[in-house]
Amino acid sequence: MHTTRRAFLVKITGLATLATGYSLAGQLLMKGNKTTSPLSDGLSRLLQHPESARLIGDEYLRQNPEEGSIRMLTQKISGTDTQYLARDDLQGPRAEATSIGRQIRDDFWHGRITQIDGWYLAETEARMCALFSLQLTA
Amino acid sequence: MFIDGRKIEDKAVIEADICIIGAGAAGITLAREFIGSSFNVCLLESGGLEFDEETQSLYNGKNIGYPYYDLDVLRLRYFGGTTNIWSGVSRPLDAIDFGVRSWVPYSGWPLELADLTPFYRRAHGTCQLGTYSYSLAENKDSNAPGLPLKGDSILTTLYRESPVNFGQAYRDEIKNADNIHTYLFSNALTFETDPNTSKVSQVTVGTLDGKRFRVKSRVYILATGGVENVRLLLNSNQTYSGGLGNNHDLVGRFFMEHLSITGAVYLPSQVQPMQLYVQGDASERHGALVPSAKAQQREEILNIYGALFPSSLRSGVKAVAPGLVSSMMALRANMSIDDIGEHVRRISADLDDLTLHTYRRVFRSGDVQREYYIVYQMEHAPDFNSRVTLDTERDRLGLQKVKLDWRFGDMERKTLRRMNAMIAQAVGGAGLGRVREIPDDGNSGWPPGVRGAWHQMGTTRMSQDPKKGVVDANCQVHGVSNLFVSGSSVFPTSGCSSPTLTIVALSIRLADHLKQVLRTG
Repeated sequence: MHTTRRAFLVKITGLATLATGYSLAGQLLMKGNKTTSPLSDGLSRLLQHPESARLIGDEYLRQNPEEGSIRMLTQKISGTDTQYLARDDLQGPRAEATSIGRQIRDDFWHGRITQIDGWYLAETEARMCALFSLQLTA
Repeated sequence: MFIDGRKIEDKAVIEADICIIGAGAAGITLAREFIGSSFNVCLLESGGLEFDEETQSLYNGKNIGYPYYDLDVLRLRYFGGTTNIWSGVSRPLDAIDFGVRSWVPYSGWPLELADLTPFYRRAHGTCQLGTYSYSLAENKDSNAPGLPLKGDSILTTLYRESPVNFGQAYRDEIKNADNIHTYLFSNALTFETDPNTSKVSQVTVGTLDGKRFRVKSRVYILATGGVENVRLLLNSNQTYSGGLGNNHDLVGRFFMEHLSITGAVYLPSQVQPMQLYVQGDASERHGALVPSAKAQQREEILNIYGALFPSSLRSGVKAVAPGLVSSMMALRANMSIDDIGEHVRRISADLDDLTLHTYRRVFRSGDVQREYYIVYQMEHAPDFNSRVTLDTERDRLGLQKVKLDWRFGDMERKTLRRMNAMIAQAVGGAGLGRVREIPDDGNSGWPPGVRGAWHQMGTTRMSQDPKKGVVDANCQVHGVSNLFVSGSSVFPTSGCSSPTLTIVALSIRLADHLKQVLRTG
């Protein structure tokens, strides 16, 4: 099953809580701006303090300009598993949250860490912020 | 018995078997080891039984290197020494600290941890620390577990807090010992040596009111701290122009301090069992984060530990008084030591509160978690040019004062960065939270508030090779058969543990050695 960029973005908005109990996505649950599009609505559920998330995303994009497209970021988050986003076991917010959470922990474990304003973040979570930032300006 | 040196007859000569100079942790430990023996011990103490500004000012000197505390506020110059206000933090050195590490120049002790362990156990008694145990595996208190960190790079270690103020705890014992004669207000000035025998023949003692007397002893033990030990050796230059024990220009070199750095913030992902790190367990043991020996080797970094302090403590601490310098100031203002004891260990750097607040909003979901400052105590890499030398200016007793050129640099900076990253990896990989490195101050390349931990080490370093060290493995000054040094000045490397427990262990070991030497000699 082919997963479109939009479908992916809608999917990740379901990550209200990640299995780690602490991922950037899961923790961005603060007050934020109300937005109107379906995509933005979904992201807002995820990133309830969008200004801060955008700051992180913008900084990540500044440090990694080669990843400055939604397509590139989507690929980076999905990794080499092109079917990643289409797997049955990822269906449903909780299953996917667990998977993404595991991916974030795996990032740390394998040293796929980026530093943004001093914070050590998993590349996956920083890219999710970057994705959010890009969609705001898309 | 206690004797006021100012009441000794001018030009008197006191005879003893053992002359200990300095009644701090090392000197008092040594003296106690000889109580009840057949040896006549002379214990010389510059101060009295209470703090005295005039005596304290004898520590005055210059700093010409990295910004450091005024030298006359660092150590206490009266009976009990700096244990009168120490925090009691105690932990043995790690096995890796004793070895030669290819990435740490000048590393390696002529001892191994196993050589010192029996003395650490005895030192536990002196410091009233209870059972000798620093293993988290032995931490049976389920209410205070360690963090379940990912991987084996970062471990939880334990440290303990000694309740002992040596000056108070052992005052009566020393005073009542028939064979221990403690001379208060008595400043050792210079060692006189006999060039034919390579021995110290006597030590000249002076009082601030101008009196002079001498102590003739079979052996002499210098136990006045990492700076003053150097000062006495270098001022003893009547026979050897470069100072005593300084044939290879090593006395005063390799000055080391533990770097105290508020280096990062740890933001837990959820309520974590932090009791072990913050309040300790039922056995008064506290947890701290350390790199494993394997990680130190792999990363080629120094030893370091990170203690965790809830951010909520910070404002309170700051309001009372931050750190030991303030404690000294309080002491000078006649505050009670009890009033200042609690906050002595809580040194916290000034941080960018606004930045922290902003990111707290992003990274936490509510107010159930608190953030923790990671306050590091870092090993100082031995540096040939980090040193204590004599100044031309003299003190009231006629001794040349000291100049301290404290240096550290790339190895320490690398250690801080790698430690932050490894902790971030260990907690992130376990889903335990995130870590933020505290940015440097834009000037020094360090986070704000980097300072020494009041531990002065390395200036009479230990080596079996006289060309590489001032004392041998028995703490005897190379080339001077009856002169010994006790204290952290003999440490060839500092490790990251606070030094007092090791000072006490080495002092007990030295006492055992001297008992043998004196019985057979």
